[in-house]
Amino acid sequence: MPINEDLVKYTQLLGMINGLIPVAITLGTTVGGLVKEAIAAGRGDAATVEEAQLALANFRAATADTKSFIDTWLAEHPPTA
Amino acid sequence: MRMRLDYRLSLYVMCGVLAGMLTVSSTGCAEKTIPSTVKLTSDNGARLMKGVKAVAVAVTDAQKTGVINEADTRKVLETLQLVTTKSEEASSYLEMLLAAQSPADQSTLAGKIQAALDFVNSGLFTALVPIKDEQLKANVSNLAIEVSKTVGLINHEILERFVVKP
Repeated sequence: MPINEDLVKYTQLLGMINGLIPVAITLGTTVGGLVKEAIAAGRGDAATVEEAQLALANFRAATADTKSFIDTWLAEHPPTA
Repeated sequence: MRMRLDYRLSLYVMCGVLAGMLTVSSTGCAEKTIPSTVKLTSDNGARLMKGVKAVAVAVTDAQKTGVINEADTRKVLETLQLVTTKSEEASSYLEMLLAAQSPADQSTLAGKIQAALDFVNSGLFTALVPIKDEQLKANVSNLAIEVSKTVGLINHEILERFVVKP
């Protein structure tokens, strides 16, 4: 049975594309992240996700503290009939 | 002839892969811009809630000395209670914003944060209405104005980064 050389070459090319896609995605995401961090550092507001989560936790804590103060006062001073 | 065709096809494939890399790179850039804004907004949010507590403390202290009666103090604190509920809502949206990937989702969440904080701002001033003593009203109004400035800072930050302009 004769071998179609074009078919072999195109199959090899398809295999190469298939192999390159995950490499491209990994490289692209890494490069994108690094570029962003460099831009953020230049702008002076670089913050990691952990820092953002810590700040968010502080915001929640401040809200809870204020809410607790108000709730406690209202509980200790029930409305008079 | 066959060699030339293969060469061109390889070139197209490499261009496609490069274009894909650039697209993914730009996606990587976009998703990583969230944290710094969420951090700044959260820092301001914590400051905002400390300001709301300062208002509550000032009013309850005034009640202890008889400057404001208990019923009016209750009215003030009940409104401030709604304010804290909206602040909780805003912090939940902020958490979602930290995880949001698409600009459309980010814009929607940023709009919700703005709306919740606008309620905090207006609610705070509404809370002061039952206060009749001029001195106390002036003191807490100054505290409320500081809170209002913080809300303005947050809204500006959120607007600049996330809200999609028409």
